[in-house]
Amino acid sequence: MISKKTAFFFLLPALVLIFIFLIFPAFWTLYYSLTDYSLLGASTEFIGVQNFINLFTSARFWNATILSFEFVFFSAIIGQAGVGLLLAMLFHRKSGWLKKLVRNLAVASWLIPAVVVAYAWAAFLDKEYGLLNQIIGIFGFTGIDWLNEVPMGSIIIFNIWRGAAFSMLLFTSALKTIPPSHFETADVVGASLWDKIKDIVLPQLKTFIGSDLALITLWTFNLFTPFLLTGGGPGRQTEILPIYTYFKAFKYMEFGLGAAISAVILFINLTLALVYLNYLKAE
Amino acid sequence: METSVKFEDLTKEFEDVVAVDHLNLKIEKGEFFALLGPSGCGKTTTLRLIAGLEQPTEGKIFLNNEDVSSYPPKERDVAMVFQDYALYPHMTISENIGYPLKVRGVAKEDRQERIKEAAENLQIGELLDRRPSQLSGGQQQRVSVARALVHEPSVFLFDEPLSNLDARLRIEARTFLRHLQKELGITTIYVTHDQSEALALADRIAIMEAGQARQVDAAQKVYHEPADTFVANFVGSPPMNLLQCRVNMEGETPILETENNTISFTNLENRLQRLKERDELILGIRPEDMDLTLNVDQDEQLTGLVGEIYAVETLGAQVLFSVKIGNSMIRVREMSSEKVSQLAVGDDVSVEINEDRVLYYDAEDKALIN
Amino acid sequence: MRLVKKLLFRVLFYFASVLLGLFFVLPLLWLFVTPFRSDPSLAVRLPANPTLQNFIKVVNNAYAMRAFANSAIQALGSTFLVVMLAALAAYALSRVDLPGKGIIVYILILFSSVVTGIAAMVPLFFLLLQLGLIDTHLGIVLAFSGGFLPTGIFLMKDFVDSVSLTYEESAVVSGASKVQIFKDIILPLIGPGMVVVAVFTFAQIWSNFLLPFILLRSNSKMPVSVAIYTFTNEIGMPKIGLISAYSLLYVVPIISLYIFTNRRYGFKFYGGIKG
Repeated sequence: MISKKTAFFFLLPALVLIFIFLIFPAFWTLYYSLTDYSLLGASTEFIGVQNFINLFTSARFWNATILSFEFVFFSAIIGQAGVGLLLAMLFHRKSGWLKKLVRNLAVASWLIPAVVVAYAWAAFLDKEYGLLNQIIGIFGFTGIDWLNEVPMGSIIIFNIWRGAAFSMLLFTSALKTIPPSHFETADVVGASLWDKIKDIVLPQLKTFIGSDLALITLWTFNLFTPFLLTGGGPGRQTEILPIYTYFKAFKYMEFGLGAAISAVILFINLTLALVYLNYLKAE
Repeated sequence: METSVKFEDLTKEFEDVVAVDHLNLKIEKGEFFALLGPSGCGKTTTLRLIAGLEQPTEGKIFLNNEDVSSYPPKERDVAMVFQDYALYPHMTISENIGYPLKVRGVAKEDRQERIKEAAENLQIGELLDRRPSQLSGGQQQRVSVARALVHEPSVFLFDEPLSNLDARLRIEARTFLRHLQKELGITTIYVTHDQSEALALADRIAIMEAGQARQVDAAQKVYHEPADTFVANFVGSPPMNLLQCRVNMEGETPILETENNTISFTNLENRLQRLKERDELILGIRPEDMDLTLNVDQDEQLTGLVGEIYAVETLGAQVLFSVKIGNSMIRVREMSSEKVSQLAVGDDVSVEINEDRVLYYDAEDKALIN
Repeated sequence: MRLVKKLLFRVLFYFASVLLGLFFVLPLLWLFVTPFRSDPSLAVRLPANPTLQNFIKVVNNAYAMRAFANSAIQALGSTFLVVMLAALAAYALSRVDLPGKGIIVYILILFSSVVTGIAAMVPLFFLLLQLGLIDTHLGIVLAFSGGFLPTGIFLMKDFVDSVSLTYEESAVVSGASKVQIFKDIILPLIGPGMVVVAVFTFAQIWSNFLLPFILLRSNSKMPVSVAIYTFTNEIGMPKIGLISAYSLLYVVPIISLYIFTNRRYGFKFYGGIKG
């Protein structure tokens, strides 16, 4: 209904905004990462890969990287995907108020703004008054100061709680793509639950699981929310890469170094996104 | 009011395909004209060119001798019924039917009047306040026709309007469309891939392939005298039997040799001369122009086409036999009768041909030999 | 044997469901009881004397109310921009055979997932500084729009693709003008898609913490997500009653939008929608 010329003008404003505020910053990050730009330095100079050398020889960077990988592996790949798959299969082809309730609670945990859930969890995990320690108390255990004594564990459990809904929703719609006749055929030949999971669910969900893992890995890797719970502490025990980047760039004003960390994150993101797009194509 | 449609060298090329290739046609005033062909033959593109939804690469379109090739759709005063009906889901049936009037600025009271009239014409008067999603497929189809005729267009364009209906409704709708068109007398161009639909509805049919018209004739003629083997194969269900033959002259009598049989005709009328000039030709015989005889006596050597019954399909009043002759399959349609019920799969039969109805096609250019 | 197995599965199903339900609900309980308590604390207690006092405190707190307005300005502004531009772009991409269209869409998806707030925060900060947009609503709106447009276009294109072209063609043959087609046919047909994109974009920007945290400075421009966080720092000790009531109010638009979308369209699920 519209000519190619009109179409171009329809497309232009969106592309301009995206270019200026999304694509251009990505390349600018790469440029900054090769300079010694900081608020203290008088002039900005091109220093090649010096930032990266500094970065890769810094124990703090490696601490952040390892923590990030731990965080992603346990909270996203194992936790969110696992709980999401469990929820999806538990309620597959079921109906009733229990399913509705649990699903809605999971979605609520996912939708409520990060700042709010951070407050709720801070209260939940509080040593003296927190609900968790009160429940533990009922069973005769003494509560601990979760955020200080097991900080990594806390933010991992927090993030599983926070993000499981996405995997649940994705796997729920994925399970719907498996024709019911496949399960019925399995029932007829007397397959066990495990057989059904192994022979029907997993093979047919392969691409869905792949794209789910790629996406939640990407998001968890870039998640700043743990900052609201622990501020990276105590010490540097929860200083994952996003928090480390923030500190470097906006607390110590070492923009060049901050940009170098961003560049590393960009590179890892790119790898993950390509994996995801590959799965998207396969679907 | 009545309008004729004419194409002169009408051509439409898309990036790498020629959808319509120098098409020349004239559709008369008040005629019901069908464009028939397999998918991708260019029939829908031709229709869209008339509507103005596509611009021709070359050639001209005339409505009543007026060149409208460069006119926008609005100024062509045509109406189109789409395959998926394209009823606006957010409007009521009344609003849907009235839309062409509304955009033409017809006053509201006048509009209501004409919507009512069109709806009653199509027997959907009681559905006016509903939404398209609340209607059955047949009702939706009628609404789309009502919307097309409400502003009394000069030409009606139909793009496979019955293909989304089930078999029973399709026949009902077909009869209704034929009746309506004759009553209104509006020139109608109807695109379909269903040959039975084209035969039933149209006064004349153009059989299209690869952007060109292979034959343009009255429905009767298309059926009985297909201009080439493509048309012969496309029109009729089951299609015409096509038998490749060699021509051997025994004196003045041509003997036709098929794969493993010989056929000799007693009466070749005026075709004899032309057959003589050829070494090979293709025989075209409609399934109803043949008869089966059970080969009772195994010892007797039968002449003509001899084969074995491969399958028997009952089509109500008629029975369709597939007879395997060498590597080819011949289809024979017989009226149900005592005799026919004795024939069964595996029987050896001889196939007798009604000589007068046989058509001869050139083996090279596949065209009918007159 | 079969019966026992069936029973066992049933028990296991309820056990697992209840356990998971508790896992999701327990951390949220505090949020829903504390605002109504007259003696708010970090503990979960049913309010002995339910009160709206905490909400009144929020309403009377100028800074808190100002932040609400800021959140609304920033989220609504960005949402409006994203929906309008995404609809235009998606329509062009869906309806017109533009050269390199596949590549454009591919690059959009790629960059929108790769360039996260974390990865781009340094250049984004300097970009706005250079443009004189740091600490302005406009700067925030533009930064968010750039980030959410690719997903918006992607969702919207999916939607426009699903609307048959014959609606428009039928209107053209009926004699409608371009303006009439846009007003009578296209807008009503793709409207629901625009609502979905709007809800999705609004919810994410309303909740976002990182970008305003970095790109804004003055208290008078902070949205709720940042303002709520500064309540603790300002006073040293967090005002629990105020914070909990404020949190609940802050959540209301998100929950309402979820219920609205769920009722109206069913919570249709799009892969890759959360950035």
